[in-house]
Amino acid sequence: MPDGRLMLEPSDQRMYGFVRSAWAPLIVVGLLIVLFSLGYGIYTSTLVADYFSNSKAVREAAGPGSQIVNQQVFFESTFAWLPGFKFFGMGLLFAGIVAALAIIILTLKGSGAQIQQMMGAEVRAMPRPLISRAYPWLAILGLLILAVAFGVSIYQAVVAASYWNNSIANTLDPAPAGSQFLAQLSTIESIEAWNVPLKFVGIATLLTSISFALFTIQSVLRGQSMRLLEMVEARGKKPAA
Amino acid sequence: MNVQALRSEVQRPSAARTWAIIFLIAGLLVILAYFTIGLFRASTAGAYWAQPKAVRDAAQPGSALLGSLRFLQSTNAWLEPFKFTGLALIISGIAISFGVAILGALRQRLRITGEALQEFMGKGGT
Repeated sequence: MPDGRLMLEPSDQRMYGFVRSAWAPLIVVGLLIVLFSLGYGIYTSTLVADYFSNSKAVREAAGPGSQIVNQQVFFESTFAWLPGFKFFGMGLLFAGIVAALAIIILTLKGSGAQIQQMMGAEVRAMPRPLISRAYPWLAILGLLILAVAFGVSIYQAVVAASYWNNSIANTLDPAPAGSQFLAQLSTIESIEAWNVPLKFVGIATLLTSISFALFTIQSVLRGQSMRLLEMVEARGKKPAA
Repeated sequence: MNVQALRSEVQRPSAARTWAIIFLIAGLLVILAYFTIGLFRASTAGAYWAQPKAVRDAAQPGSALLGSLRFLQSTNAWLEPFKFTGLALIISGIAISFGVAILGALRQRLRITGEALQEFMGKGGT
């Protein structure tokens, strides 16, 4: 019995080798990132609870280098980078699903070629619709968008750490217009406003890739049904031996 | 085996696939609208938070500054469910693809494979 994988086109064979080895690491690393984010979030919550056990006057008067300010620097910067990291982990999980769907698509294609050969018919490759070419690239694009969003989150965390490493009452609240502190606050808030939607664009791109992979599976199944019918029809037309 | 009947059955457009595409496009449009509003909010937030705290706190009703704050806070309230609506629409499309369109195509393919095998074995095996 011929090996279905060997009957794939060379580009599909290369893709099969890649997705076969990549799907499990993508899912494991994605899951580890999400679990790490959970653990880190729980640890951060203890610091937040400790910080808010102080009165407002004490919190706002605390100066740079004090434990209270250090706590605020830690959790404000964590709030900036941790969601970006978590979304990147989710992105890896979705990319793992796309890779698993690619294995199904390529296995179906290989088995289709195998059936044609076993039935003594000419082995014809299925036409490749645009969506079947697009889904791997959409998965890569989605992951890239999430990586960029994570990179921006790290920059936002650095700015947030620098901004909050000051006394609220003595430095941040009285900051005059055009000061470095207000520029930092403006940067933090504006990044927050566009970077969160960017993460959702990344996730939506990955989900679109999953949808396209599913449409491809459907197209492959329908194409194979049509080819089987063609084979039956061709056999019926053959003169009896 | 009625090849013509089976062929027209395979070629018939799938309603489930059409619905899956509609849900996918609707979800993507919602997410793109969310991103566009996010860009608009970013410029408003940048301008608002660049003002000194004393100026922000002293903003009077009807002022541009208070209008900015009102916009930022009120959009935040509905954008949260809005973005999840977008994701929910895309995921609904995926569920329809999985549960109806692919399942239907798979059943059809298995049935045709079975009938084709019978045809081949019946003619070649005797």
